Amino acid sequence: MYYLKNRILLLQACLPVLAMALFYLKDASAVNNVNLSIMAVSCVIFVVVPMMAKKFLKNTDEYILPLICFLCSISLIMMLRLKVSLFYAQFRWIVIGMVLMFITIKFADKLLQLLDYPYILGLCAIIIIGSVIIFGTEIGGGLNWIIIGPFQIQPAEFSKLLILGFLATYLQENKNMLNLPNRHWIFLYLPPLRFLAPLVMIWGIALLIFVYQRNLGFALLFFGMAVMMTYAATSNKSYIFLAAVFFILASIFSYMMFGHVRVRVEIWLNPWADPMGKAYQIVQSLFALGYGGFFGTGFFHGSPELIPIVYTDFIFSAIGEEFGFIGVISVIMAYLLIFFRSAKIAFACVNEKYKLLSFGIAGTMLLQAFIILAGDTKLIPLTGITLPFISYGGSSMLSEFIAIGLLLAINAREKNRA
Amino acid sequence: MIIKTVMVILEYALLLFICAFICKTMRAIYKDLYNDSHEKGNVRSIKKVALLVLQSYDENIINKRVLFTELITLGRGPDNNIVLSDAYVSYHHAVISHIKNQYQIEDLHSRNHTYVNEQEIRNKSFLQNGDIIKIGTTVFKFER
Repeated sequence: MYYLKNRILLLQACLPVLAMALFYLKDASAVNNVNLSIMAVSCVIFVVVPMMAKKFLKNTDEYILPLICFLCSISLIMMLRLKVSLFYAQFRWIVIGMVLMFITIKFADKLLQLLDYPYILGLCAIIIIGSVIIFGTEIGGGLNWIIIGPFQIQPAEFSKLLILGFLATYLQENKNMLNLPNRHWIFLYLPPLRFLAPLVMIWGIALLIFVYQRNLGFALLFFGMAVMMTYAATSNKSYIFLAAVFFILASIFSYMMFGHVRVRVEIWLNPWADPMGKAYQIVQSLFALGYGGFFGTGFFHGSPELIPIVYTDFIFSAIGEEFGFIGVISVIMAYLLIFFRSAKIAFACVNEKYKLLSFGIAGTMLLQAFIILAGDTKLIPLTGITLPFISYGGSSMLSEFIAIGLLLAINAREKNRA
Repeated sequence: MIIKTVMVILEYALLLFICAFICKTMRAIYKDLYNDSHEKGNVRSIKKVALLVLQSYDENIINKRVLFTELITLGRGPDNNIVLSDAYVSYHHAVISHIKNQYQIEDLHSRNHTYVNEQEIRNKSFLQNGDIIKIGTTVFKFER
């Protein structure tokens, strides 16, 4: 095994230090003890956590955690750049997330036992999503928040994990049934309808989120997740065809029915029709990316704060403006490398449930990153969703860290067995 | 002025650190994969193949297995790996060698030829699992 040198870890941990130095040069009065101590602690954490994981968790993948720490440090310096108050909050979420990740690894055996009860997991996911419709509060044009005291929770982020667990178990148990080609229409091989029902149900949930909560991003993510996992489990292309038909019908239907969808599509097709009004956000994002060029404008030299809600949905454009093509490619590479290592974990699994679950976790993260990156660059209509590990957001950060914890725990388990 | 220069240097340093981290990590992952695949390659070649003696002039060596990995030479001369003191066998009769995951038998212009599956081989031939090799009065079965 090639040793990932500890010196490399210093590289990503140095990012907050450099950013803080720049921050100081820009405006010396804005630097106070709190900022400096957060910076110092985050540097230590980003070096110590991967090393500790390597030391105490034998047999886990040693590349995933450094890459995640790299993404987190990018997130921290962007928060410092964009809004200092979010810098504290984001740091708090990263620390809580890392603690949760270690707790997940510690109690992974108990958590993975839950996979034996797939329908309970699925039901919980539906209840959580349904509760948003009843108790939810509308923020920023989307009904997907629950406010409990001082906290705002986005429950869809957590139900993502439950649905992944449900899909992994359900597909593993019914794999043979789903592959049984006893309905044969033209070129489609389909199983009896009752075995398809849970899949159709998940697509229905996606549609529900889409209609009631106006959350296109999660609808697309849930839908993509179900299709991806089904294909991974059965390798039957009929399901992809079916999903494509379903998707096209749903898109046409919602385009006809809902005004907000029509607006999104119009903005996507021609943002220059109304650049100062509806399309202001995407137009500013495109300007930011174009202004960045190859090397970027330099930290603190761009003007990403012109883009509305830049610290969640459009953080990628801010990175593109200040770090240019090099920064953007580095971030994308980091996601791809994490996916690659996670897929490697999935291939090494003997237990098929764990194999599907770890592949699902890896694929979902990549899909989520793709949906928002494509939205920011106007490849697909914009859908509000967080960029994993970089966007500001407690729920998203915590759920991603839990997912990574599960992935590492599965890896350790399967390697210990072998 | 100095502050500006320092800022520019720091900005490029930031970019360099981001880039360097990703490059180094990619390199490490690549090296890791490379080493893995080479280790597996070694394991495959260590996997032994065998010659099982089916018939022979010498009763003692019947049903004996000769294991080898890279190269094995057959003949009457004492410097061969398998010495067959049989009048029909040439001094250096044949050699079986490992070439790109396959095994190849080469007849070294012997007087009485080498037979694989009852067929006389001309110069070289690749071997499959279960092939019957006949040299002189000795019959081998190739196993891999």
